[in-house]
Amino acid sequence: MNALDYVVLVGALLGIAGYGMWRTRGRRDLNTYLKGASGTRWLSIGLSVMATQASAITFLSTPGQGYESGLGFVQNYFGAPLALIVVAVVFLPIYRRLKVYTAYEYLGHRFDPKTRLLGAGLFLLQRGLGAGITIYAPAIVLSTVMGWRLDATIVCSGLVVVLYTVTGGSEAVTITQKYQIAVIFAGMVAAFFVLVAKLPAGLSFTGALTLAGGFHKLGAVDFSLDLDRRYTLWSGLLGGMFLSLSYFGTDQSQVQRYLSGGSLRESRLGLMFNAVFKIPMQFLILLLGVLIFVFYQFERPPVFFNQAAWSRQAGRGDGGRLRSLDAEFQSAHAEERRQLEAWLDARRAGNGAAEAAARDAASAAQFRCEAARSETRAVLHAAGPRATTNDADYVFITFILDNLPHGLIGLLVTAFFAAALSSKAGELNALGSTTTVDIYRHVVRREAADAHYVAASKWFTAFWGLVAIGFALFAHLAENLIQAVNILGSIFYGVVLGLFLVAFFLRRVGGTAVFWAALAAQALVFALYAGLSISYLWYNVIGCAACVAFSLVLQAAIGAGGCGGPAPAEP
Amino acid sequence: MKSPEDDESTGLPGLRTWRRVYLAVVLVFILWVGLLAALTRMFS
Repeated sequence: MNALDYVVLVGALLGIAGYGMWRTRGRRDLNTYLKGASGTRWLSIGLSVMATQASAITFLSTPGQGYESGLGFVQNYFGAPLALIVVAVVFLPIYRRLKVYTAYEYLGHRFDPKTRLLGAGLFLLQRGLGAGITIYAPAIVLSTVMGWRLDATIVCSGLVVVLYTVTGGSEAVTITQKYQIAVIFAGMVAAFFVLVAKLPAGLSFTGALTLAGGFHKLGAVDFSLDLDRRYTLWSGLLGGMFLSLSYFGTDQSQVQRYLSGGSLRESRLGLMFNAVFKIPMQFLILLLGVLIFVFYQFERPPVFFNQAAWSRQAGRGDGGRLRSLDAEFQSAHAEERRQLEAWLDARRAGNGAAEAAARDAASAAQFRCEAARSETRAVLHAAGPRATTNDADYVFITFILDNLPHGLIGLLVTAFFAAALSSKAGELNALGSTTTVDIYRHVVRREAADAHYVAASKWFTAFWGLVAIGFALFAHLAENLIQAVNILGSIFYGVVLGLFLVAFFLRRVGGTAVFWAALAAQALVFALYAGLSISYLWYNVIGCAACVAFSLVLQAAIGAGGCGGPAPAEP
Repeated sequence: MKSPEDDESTGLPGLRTWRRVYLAVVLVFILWVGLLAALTRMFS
């Protein structure tokens, strides 16, 4: 990066944050601070929901996923549109009717105070522990590639987001997210056009797709019923819908975004905006990765995209194997390139036999390249248990730094930071609001002026921001931390969704039954996690199903007239 | 019980009820999946 890139980066990030703070200066009204301006329109809400979900790692990693595995990952999002319709029809009208600040406040209305505290507590535990990852994950990639200090990257980006989220609350989050996502889209579109322009002469966009298809990168929809396959239409529809329902319906970081709507109409349209555009957005980001794959068939890529990690290890005395694998990789890549050029020539000449022969030879060379890459990963892993062997996160940033002009490099790095800040802001805002509304105002101090609760919310938001920064600074001490946090999320998500599904659909179940059912379901999930080795995604299903089933059994045992009886009438 | 807000106009030309909006979103979803399936078939 040169001076121009840094001007773009610092100017855009501080400019957006400063604008958000200036627009929301002097807000003392609790409703505005927690929910945002009353006139927020559907497009702002839709972009805010999108920006909260899409973190920096989405834009850094997803092209890498497209590069490695093709378009199949897009199926993970197939359940989202249907889940968003359910949220718009069932969840949203109830939240708005009750004029709640948080989703867990609804549990208090529907059941009792202890169930509300349980829901809020599970959210704070899960999100609070995961708070540092949204800052840490992009910081580790960007600091490694740029040569920046990791701690300085974490502290600087963390403090910026804490500052404007504390100052302006939900309104500042919505305003800044709108501009941050505009920067992200601008960066992605610019990268797309540069990439297409840099494809070899004679290779059209359709030709690039044909080539990618030849390497099995364009399998976007898999109708297979095989449960062993990671991404299929069916797992995307069922699993994706389940996860999206939990996330959009019960996670305060999303609920707070769409409750900021000026009316039910604005909130609903904001959700429908995401239902329509989520799949094409993810498709285009994955396609970017596929096109980078095509680009690197003609340009020399590194054998391992995390070049800092590779160089560190290859420079040591025992790095000879890595260097010989690099030589093997480059030789296989040169052969592949020759064959692909022959394939292009044969295609232009309309020589079908030569075209097929060249393509087969290119596939064989590609197989050798992949073998060298796999062995490089194995050597790096054997060299040190802490060595990162997944370099997919580094594919896109490597392409950007090596191939984009200055100015655009700054724009893309700004886009990654904007994504990190926008999702972090949504999380911090939700953590601060839940602590204020469901814990402080509900348990500690019930009667106070709005200004008091606004001040409390600012302190709690700052507290969670500092927790996030501290956690991110020490994140490197734990192995597989990101996966650990994802597992933690799945362990709690199912039970929280179960609480809400009982609240919405099982009107005869009361607070006491669902409270103890949720605790029993959570204990069951913990026990299963300790004893089984199934994929952690299944704990979402198990926790939810157990919470619902236990609630029905307990309610039958307690009886309708017992403590914590059926739900009161909806206001 | 429905609140008056539930019956609020969508404000979208041609999609005056929420039922129609949801149907349109489902149709768009089916369209995306269909296009992606066609892309898979064309380039496999």
